[in-house]
Amino acid sequence: MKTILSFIFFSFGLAIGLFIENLPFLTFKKEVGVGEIANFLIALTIAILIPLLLHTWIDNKRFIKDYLIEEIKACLVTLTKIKEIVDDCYSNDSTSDKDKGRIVYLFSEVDRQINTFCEEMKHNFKKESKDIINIIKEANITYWKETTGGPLMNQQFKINYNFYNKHNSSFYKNEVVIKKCISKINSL
Amino acid sequence: MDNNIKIVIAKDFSDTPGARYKTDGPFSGEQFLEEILLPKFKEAIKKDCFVEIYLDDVWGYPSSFISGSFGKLAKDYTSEEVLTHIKLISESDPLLVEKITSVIIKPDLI
Repeated sequence: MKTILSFIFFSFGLAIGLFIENLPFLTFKKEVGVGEIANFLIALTIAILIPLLLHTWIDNKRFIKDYLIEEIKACLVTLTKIKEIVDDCYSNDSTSDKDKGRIVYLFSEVDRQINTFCEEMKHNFKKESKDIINIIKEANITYWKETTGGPLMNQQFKINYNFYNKHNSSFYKNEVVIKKCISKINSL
Repeated sequence: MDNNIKIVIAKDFSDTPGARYKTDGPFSGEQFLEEILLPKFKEAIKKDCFVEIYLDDVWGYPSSFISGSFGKLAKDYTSEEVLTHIKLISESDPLLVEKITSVIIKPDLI
């Protein structure tokens, strides 16, 4: 087996040697120095490596941005669940303690999603993250205050037209902020 | 500031905090303030230490509860004094700490 392998390697080397020697378009002039050859090889390596590395870097950045956008979209899904509960309560003219508890619980769920998003954002875009994080946190805190800061948790309270209306406007304001942040992340 | 005072809301009060006032329903912010937060806060001022408030293991905090307890305390004692003697702790939700702090800093906004 060893002999066969040695023979194959020897033949392969011989073939390459013959090929280079008889190569019609590549002739080495004797006056070409080692420095020039090294220069040529370095230029060739850079020409191959830079686009390759750049491409990988851009791909990675895109992947991170897509991931962050998915994270923030997940918050929007949870926020939409809050809106759906408010919508149902209003249209059924009935607001149970369970509905109120679920709204409050979903707010803490959104908090956890925002916390994860902020951590990822800080980790991947340290410089740019500050503005986006502040805007998202502030909008979410405002939405939380406007939704659960009024009469919602009062035992006798049923979601009425006034609450429904104010909630909708608050929800859409928050939604716009999050969507703007998605487009900001996209342009990073 | 050694020998800090501890409040674990889920254990010492409820895991389902309610509305703002006692008249609004059970486990209100007002009830929490009167029965737990205020006595411990006064004790912390006296001893010159912190009240460590553990916020985890609760289903969620309505803003009305926070405003009726922490907000009211800040109105009565100033935001600076409250922030000097209260330490909010949450391992699962750091944003909650920011939310409560924002209510303490601007208690009139709700």
